[in-house]
Amino acid sequence: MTAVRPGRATRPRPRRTAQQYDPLGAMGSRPLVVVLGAGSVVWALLVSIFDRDVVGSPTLSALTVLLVAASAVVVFTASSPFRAPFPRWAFIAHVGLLGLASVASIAAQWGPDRSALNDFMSLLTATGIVMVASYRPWTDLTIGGLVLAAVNAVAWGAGAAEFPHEVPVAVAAFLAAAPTLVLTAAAAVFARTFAGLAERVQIRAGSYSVARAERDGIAASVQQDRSTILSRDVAPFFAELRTRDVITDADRARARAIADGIRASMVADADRTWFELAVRVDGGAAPLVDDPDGLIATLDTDQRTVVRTFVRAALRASTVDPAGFRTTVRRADAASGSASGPASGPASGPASPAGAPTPATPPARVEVVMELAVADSDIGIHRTFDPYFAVLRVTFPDLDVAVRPSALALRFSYDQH
Amino acid sequence: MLGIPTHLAPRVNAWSTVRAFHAGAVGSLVAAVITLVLYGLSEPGVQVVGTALAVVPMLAMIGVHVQFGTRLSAIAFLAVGGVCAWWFAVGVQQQVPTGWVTSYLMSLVVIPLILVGGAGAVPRRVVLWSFVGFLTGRLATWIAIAQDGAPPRPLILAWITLGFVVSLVLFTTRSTGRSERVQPELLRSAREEHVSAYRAGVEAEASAILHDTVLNHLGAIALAPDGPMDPHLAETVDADVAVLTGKGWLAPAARPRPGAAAETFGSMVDEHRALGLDVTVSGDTSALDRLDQRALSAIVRAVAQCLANVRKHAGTDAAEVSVFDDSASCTVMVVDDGRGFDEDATGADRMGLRGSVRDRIGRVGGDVQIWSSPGSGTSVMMTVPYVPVTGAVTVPAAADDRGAVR
Repeated sequence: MTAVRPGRATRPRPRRTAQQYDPLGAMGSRPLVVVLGAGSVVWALLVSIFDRDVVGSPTLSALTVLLVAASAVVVFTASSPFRAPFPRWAFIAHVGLLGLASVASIAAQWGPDRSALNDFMSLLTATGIVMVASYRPWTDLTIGGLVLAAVNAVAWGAGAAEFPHEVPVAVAAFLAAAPTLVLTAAAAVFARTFAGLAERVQIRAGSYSVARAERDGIAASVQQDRSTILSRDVAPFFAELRTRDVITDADRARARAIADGIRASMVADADRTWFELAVRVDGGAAPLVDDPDGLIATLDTDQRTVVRTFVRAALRASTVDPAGFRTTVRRADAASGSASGPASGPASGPASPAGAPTPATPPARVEVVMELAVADSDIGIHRTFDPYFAVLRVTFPDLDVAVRPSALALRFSYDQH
Repeated sequence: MLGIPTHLAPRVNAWSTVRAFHAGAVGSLVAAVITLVLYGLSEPGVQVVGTALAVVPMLAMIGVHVQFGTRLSAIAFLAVGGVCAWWFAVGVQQQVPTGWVTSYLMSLVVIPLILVGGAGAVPRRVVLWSFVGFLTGRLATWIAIAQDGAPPRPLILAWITLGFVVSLVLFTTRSTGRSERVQPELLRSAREEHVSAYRAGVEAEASAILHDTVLNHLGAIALAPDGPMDPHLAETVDADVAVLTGKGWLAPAARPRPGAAAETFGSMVDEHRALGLDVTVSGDTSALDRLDQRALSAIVRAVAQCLANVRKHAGTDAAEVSVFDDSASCTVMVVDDGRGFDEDATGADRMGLRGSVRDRIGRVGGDVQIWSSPGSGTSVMMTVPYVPVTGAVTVPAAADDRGAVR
């Protein structure tokens, strides 16, 4: 998490959810959400129609079913990989809707209830918490579950007190809350255990190291590149100079020309970003990267890894034309205004790790827009890229994906590190 | 963070589910006891202690199974659990013969049998054990009900739990091929990212070395007066070409002997003295010995570049180099009282300060501060931590390597 928001390290870190630790796993288990949500609605509907102890209010029964359906829709919508991570407001809405449904179901069959079997809401509130176990931290699950258990206990307790039967009020109230309490405990333990284990086995790009043999290979390769230039241009010039006694105007001009050439190539190398290299490696054609200030270099290692994975997958997909790949990188605050002049300074680019004393300013936001031409339908685009979107979305929570037939546009931003 | 490796994800999920099942099982038994206690408190005539005690061996056996987690402990749990379920059902039949509450309570003791046996990593085994647990509990409670001649109890909650376990297995162990493909790609990218950052660091260092040597000499030749080449320049040109066209100038360095750092630093300073610069060294140069080889190379080369800048641009023939040790890092300051400069006004094509000082020190996790303005001299302060910092700097200086680069 520090990798995503290092500038806000002083704030307490929010607990991560199973979905944030394992976006692909959460995406794979989403069918359970669909099944539980749909099952809840069907069950509520069947019980409301066919298994009524008292006639009560059919309108309130219909309202109950609608509230259950609404909560299922909230969970289904918010658990989409495109909206990850599952927001807290959605969880609060889900709990609120289930709580209201619970009250409505008791009100709908207000009367001398002889059986608990048709009081389906005590079970639906329990499964409601389990449904979101992968999407919210254990603390949220616990609080939500306790709230729903309390609502159930009060609603059932009120009914039992108003229409006394063989069951003591305290027992009726507790039994209404028990399924939710038990499944809340299970869901919270799941979320907590998952987070604890995932934290230990999490893939961290920064934890990789380049092996010694590989380091030697890289050093040898870079050295070879440089030696080639030296052997071709510099060494013959120096050798020639040493054979003569005097330095002439022609020698001075040649020295200047060689130095300018080397310097220009060094400046170009230093200004080229990792992203341009990554795109070029996978692109083939001449993809366009519009990043005048080299801001893409300010992504951290994890973020770069995720973007690199998407770029490679996109450019290598058979349906994507690399020539139709466009990336624009701009400061978010300057995106609409005129560009300020940092690019003109010699050492003011983002590549400078150690700057001259400057006043501390909050990290600037950088906005990235990627556009691709994809020869596929929107369904096909989703089929190919959804898992990548899931990972990108967890890394860049404001990721916006626009899918149209034959076109894909991604927009996200991050704090400049 | 980039997710969980593909081969570990099912295990993390399975183990979390196992723990959740255990929590559900214990919670279910606790709920049964609380219900009985509430019943006993609400209706003093009802004796619940004997029935509540039936839960204790089950709880103990859950503890045993959690501890050992073998097939034998699972069988033992089912056996003890079956007996306890029968014991509990007999007590409930006699003390709480209240329609749905009786069924509810019996379900609460059958649920652990479904959950605990069924906790595991292999989906088919989970379902099988859950069925066996359910049948064990159902049989035990059926015997108790039959003994009492009571009407059959549906145990709806137990059925729902069984259905839940089966659907959980069905819908959470499915992993799409597409998702499985992405995780290895992430791993590959993480590796590429690392290699690419390392290479960028090596290339930047190579550029800086090239700048300090060949470019400097070419500049000197371009400015040289008519006539024979300066003998010292000719000597260093020969030496540098021999080194740069040879092998190993970028290879990682070997660990030097103690005291070598101060000597290396001293000979670098002497070279600049030989070129006519009056360099005063103050402070404790032995602090340089505490730096790792890569940091030492960086700081020696950076100081050399600072001194070269003084000679070429400052319009003075004197400079002071001070070395400080603040226990966590080594700080070297190069001060001159020359003409000074405005860093922002330096041309973008001038690589000296950027490549040979700032980026170079940044690559070893250090920090550079420059105070200068036209007419008031220049102070360059370079601070390098003693402990190598990995991955602490931005691209192109993001090489996360501990190896020395020369």
